[in-house]
Amino acid sequence: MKKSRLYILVTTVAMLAFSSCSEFLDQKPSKSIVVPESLEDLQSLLNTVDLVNAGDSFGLLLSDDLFTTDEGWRGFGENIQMGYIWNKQLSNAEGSMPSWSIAYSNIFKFNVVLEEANSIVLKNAEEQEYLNRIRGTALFLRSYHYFELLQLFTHPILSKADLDRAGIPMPLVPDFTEPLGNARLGDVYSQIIGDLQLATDLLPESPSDPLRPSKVAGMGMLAKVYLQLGEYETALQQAEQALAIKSTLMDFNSIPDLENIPIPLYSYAIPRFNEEVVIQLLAGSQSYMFSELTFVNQEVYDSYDSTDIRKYLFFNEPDQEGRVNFLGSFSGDYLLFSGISTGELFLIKSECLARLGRDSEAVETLNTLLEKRHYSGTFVPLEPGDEPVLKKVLAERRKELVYRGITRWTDMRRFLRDQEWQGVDPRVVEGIVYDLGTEPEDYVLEFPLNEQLRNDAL
Amino acid sequence: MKQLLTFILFALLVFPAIARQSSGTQLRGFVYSQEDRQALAGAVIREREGGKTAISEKDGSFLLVDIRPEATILISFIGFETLEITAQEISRLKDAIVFLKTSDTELGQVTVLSTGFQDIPRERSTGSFVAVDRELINRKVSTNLLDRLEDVTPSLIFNRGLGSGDDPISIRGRSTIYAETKPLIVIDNFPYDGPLENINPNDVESITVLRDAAAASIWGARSGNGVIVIKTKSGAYGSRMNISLNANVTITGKPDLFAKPQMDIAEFIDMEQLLFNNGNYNSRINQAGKPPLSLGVETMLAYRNGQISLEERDTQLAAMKTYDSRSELLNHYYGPTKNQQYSLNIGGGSETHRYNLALGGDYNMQELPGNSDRRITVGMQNDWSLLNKRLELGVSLYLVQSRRETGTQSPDMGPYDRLLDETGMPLPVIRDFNLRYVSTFPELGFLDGRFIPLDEVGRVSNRADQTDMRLNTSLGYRILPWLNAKVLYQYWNNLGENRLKKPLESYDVRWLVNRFTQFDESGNAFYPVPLGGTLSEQTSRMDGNFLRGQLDINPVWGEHGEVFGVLGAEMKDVSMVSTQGLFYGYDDEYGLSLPVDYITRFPINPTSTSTIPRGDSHSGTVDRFVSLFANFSYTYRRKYILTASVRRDASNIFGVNTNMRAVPLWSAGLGWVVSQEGFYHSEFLPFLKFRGTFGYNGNVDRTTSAYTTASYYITGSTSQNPGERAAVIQNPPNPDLRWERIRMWNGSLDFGLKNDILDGSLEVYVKDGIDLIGDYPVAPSMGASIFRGNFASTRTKGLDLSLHAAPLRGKLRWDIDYFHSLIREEVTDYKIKPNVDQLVSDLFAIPYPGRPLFGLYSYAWAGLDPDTGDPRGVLDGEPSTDYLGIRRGTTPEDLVYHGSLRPTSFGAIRNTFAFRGLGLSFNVAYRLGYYFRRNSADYTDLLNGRITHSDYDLRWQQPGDELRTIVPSIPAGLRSNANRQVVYNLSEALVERGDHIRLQDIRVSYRLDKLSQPWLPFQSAELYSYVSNLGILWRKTDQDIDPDYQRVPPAKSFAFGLRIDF
Repeated sequence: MKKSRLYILVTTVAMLAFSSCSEFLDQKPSKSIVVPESLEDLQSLLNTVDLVNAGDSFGLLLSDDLFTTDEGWRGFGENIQMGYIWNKQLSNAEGSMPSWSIAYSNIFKFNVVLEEANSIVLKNAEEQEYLNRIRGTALFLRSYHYFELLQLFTHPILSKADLDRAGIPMPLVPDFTEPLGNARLGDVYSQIIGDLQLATDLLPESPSDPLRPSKVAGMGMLAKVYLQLGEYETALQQAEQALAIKSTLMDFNSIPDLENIPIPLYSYAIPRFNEEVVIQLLAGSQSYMFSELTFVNQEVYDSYDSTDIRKYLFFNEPDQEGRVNFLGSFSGDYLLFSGISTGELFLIKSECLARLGRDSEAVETLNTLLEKRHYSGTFVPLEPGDEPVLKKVLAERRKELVYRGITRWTDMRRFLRDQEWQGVDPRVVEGIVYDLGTEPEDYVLEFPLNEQLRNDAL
Repeated sequence: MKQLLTFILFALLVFPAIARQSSGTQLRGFVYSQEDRQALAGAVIREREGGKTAISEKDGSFLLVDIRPEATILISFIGFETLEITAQEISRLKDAIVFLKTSDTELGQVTVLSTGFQDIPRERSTGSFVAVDRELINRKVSTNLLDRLEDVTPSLIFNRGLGSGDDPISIRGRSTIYAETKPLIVIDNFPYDGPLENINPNDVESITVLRDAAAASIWGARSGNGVIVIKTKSGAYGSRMNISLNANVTITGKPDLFAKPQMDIAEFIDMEQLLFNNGNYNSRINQAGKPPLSLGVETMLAYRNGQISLEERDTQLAAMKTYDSRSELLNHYYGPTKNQQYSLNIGGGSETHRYNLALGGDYNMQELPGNSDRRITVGMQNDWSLLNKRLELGVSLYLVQSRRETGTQSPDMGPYDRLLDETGMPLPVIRDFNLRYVSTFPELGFLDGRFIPLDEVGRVSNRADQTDMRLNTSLGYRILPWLNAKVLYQYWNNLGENRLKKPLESYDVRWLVNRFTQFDESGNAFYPVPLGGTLSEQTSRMDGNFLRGQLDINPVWGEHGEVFGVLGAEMKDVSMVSTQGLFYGYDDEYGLSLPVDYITRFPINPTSTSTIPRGDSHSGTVDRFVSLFANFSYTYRRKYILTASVRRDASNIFGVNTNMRAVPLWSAGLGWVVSQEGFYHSEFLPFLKFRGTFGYNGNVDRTTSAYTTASYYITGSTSQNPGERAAVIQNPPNPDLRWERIRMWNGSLDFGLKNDILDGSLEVYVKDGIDLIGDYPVAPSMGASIFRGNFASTRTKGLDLSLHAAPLRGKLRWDIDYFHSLIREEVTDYKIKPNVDQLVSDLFAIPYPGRPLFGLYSYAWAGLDPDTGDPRGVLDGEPSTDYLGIRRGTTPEDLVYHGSLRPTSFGAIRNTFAFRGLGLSFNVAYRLGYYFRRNSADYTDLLNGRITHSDYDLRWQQPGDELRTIVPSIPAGLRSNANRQVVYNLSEALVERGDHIRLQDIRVSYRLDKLSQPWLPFQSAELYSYVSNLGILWRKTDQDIDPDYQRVPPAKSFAFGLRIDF
């Protein structure tokens, strides 16, 4: 009797311990935490638009799109001050540089998405489409970030030989065991081009909103990459294909804020998500971009015709010294647009045509864009005349794409190939003259200190 | 369903009219000490023939059933002579009180230690326990229970300083980096996951601190930081009703805002003028965000813009030089803290039933006006002993209702801002925007944008209500004389509600409305954020279900051996859900709020665009454990003790991989009471015992997983894509992840000198933290700059000595309690070398081989430059002012290592005097062997318009000054240089020894009792006064700094109270 009671008790205790134990423990410990596996999870990772669509913040500083006064310069953080005088090591006090660490943390996310995408079991065709979009987006954005990293931290491509130089670490899977060494520069470009081609196949023609990439964005990005590599024919081809799908241009005459000129400081005339936006990407935000003492390159500002609407919509009223701040971001607000617009596609097409000697086509393309930028009835179409067409195209490129994040910096790098390129004006800070120079090495930043210190594979 | 169950059990509590069990021949009695006539709890009463055993309760009572009158009863208790007596004789004694004589040969106090699974007399233990009894708990006066352990508990230290927010207390150091750092708290047999503020110290009977593996490994995966086991009061079988009342009030002075050294305000204003003239403010003056500028700078600007004359400017500035916002705050804002505490306890029992009812009320008025908190606690405990004591049934319920009001914030004031003007009118202080912009608000059509601290008092209500309920039930049945089966169940529920109500008049709402105010073409304002208050409401609910089945075994095994054991299984399921909502246009009177447009991006004033912020969120966690445990001890001839325990925990939080969930942990121990041996005959040292244990404890990190995890959120209003579901990577993949374990050796020696003059114990231990999880820096190209994984091992060696001496035992009784804890912590293995910035941060546990987790490191110092007064560091072995070069070029090996940031030895000595009813006790505590970094003049602050340390007065001003000072000159050109400042702030020149001795508290009491004063209408009463934070008696540094509180030291507090036992 006693023994059986004991037996029952022991059994009960044991059952309590083991019965359905594993199911009980399968409960997820927190509502908000998941192991990203579903399409929804992967899309959510890409929905962190403020992070994944945000790019480099130093290219603009290094370019000659802007200048500041001594007083403005003193207001900058130390690493920004160093960037302005073209120092090559721009890590902050912690040894890091956002253009590097943010790009790589984004790349890690895309690698997670791309790897997880491989193991998703699809239920129907709609899911296939959804998955294609996710994959295409991850590939597109990864390429975009790699492209910007190359423009800051690697040697400009002046000849085929430069492709054999050291590039940057290029993780393509989400592995956290070991840091990677530098990939060959040519291999990084090839990866970017291959990924963009694949993305272009996967992405839809028109996106749900301008924050998401599309086929047009993929082709546009390819055009930019080829342009950077000096492969003008391919660049032209991509630009034309993109424009075949989307070539809408805003008529600046119909922008409502035209009635409110001069545009007051901290107002932004160009509408957000306007019809020219192919993909909205933003330059990483830094206070130097918004300082009232940061001015637009005087030569560029002075080069707009008085009939050019951009002269009034892109800038505030000049101060006594004729200096202006930039207000014309295509993002619709103070954040600087660094994505792709149809205007840029027209300019790439025009430049490639000019470089390939097809002057009349180049001018015609340029006129299509410029007509929309001038007050109605004032625009005199350009003719392939005395001035070299290429020079004209590049001057117009300057005016249309001023303050487009890293864009001018990338142009400065590729112009090193051009014979007539004289480099940019030196900068003077507190009486000291700093010259960027025209050697390709002058256009390459050092890796951030924390990368140098922590990556033994470099 | 749970509610129904709760109701039924509650009903049981209210009607304790359970039929009494008719007993056969019961033997009921009390055990008292002959010497001091005190009841002895824990005495063993055993029937010689039948082996029936009882242990005396707190009031000395015991009960044996089914006993023949002629049976021989043995009553034994450590430190007393064993008494042989028949049952009959006991019943004939007056009040059935048996007196035991103190023995000369058997010494040592008997303390019953609680592990949360079982109660063990100390004599049977091998592990390392600290018992804190009711008297010691009651010595201090505080609202919070844990405060009462400070400076009376060996091995337990309250951490201070920068990095201690995460681990306010540690037991025997810290053997983890990123996992849980707090000790496990067990209340009435079950782990408690709620806030500890909910425990009323007056309800607590005893606290046991489990320090080593043998003591704590029964708690398995959560025991790595030690365990604090709390037992609340219960009644006693067969005791009369005991009513006890306690009331006290504590007054704490205002915070000493002047403790933090600050440069002279007049000099600061002069500096502002200098900076203003130098153009340092120009960019801020014109910035579109309208950033705030100090009153002084605004005055200078007004003069520059020609709005005021030179004379006006100078008059205004001269006036400002006489103001001090700290005195303003002390005179017009802060008040003393007043805490009131009341508690009533009623306990007692019959032979088959015991009960305890505890009521407590705390009401605390905080130093900020209108802020307060209060707590009401109710505890009811009922136990029934039925079927000849074979069946034990227990039901208890604890309810806590607390309310905390924290609507008033301490305003952030500039050094010479004022709260009142000369006429006593409240003044605005500068906050989000500069005054020029704020003053244009009326004409711009905005609401008043001024922030007037005194007008804000009482406007905002931030009320946190909490209801905490614990329902414990237990059912025990003695199946065999040596086998008792028990099922324990606890239901825990914690409901929290936080309502943050801001009316339209409050500054925060006016600011928000103004930010979003829009104007149409004709200039009419409209308000996307409605003209009304805001209500932010957060509710949370936690539910816990704990179920434990256990078998208690205590057979007498053989003639001289005894086995005590417990084995069982338990399940735990704790879930938490919380929801937060934010409502606009809220009208508290009618309880109405208005919908707003969360979609549109509005241009906001003065710059930028944004959608209206949303404040909705939901979260939920589930914490589940399934565990098996066993713990045995075998005692042979009361000389040799062998203990072993094992536990296996499985949990849903141990990663996603099933086979990684379970952690088996075990321990073993040996004890040898040398003084019981036949060969031992020491008159001087009549009690001597050795103990040794070894085993593993575990520790949990809830946030790490072997797989990539992501956490979801909804994108915010300023996002590019507001209101969309997004996810960020929480945890990169880590297939090698293992769980933290702590391996511990503990050896100890317990001893007692003749006549109890001196007794104590000495413990030495070695504690190895294995596979500790932590964040370490990695190459950013991997995708993150920080990675979390197993990356370090630590070794902690230590010694704990506790002594109790009673030099005087006559009418004047003098007791000395002393403890000393010594800790040597060292990192033995690490994966990634920490970088210089981490090492000098002082904030985190940083593994560096051969050094403790919290070490103080600094840049080498080469004095001031004799020509410029620039601070000089060392670069390549030479004095250098290349600050960037120093920061880049210094390696971790180059840093100067001073020593531990945390005390490496600490202790306290408590003297207690008793003369008749008068009692005096004071506690002197010390902390030794550690370093801290003191603050000094910071030019990065100063040149950006923030006031700095008074070391500014000592700065280098001309060549030669470098011989008398280490404070650098003002940087050339008034240009702040962050690296220059860092090299000075983090240099060895500013490192000081932290060693100090503190007079922690004094307690004076006067006690009256019925024995001496028969006229008293109650049993006893104690009138007491308790004063704490009396200040530092000695410090090693010559700086006038409290090493543990560099900012605001704790203010002295005075408490008065009365305790009456009826």
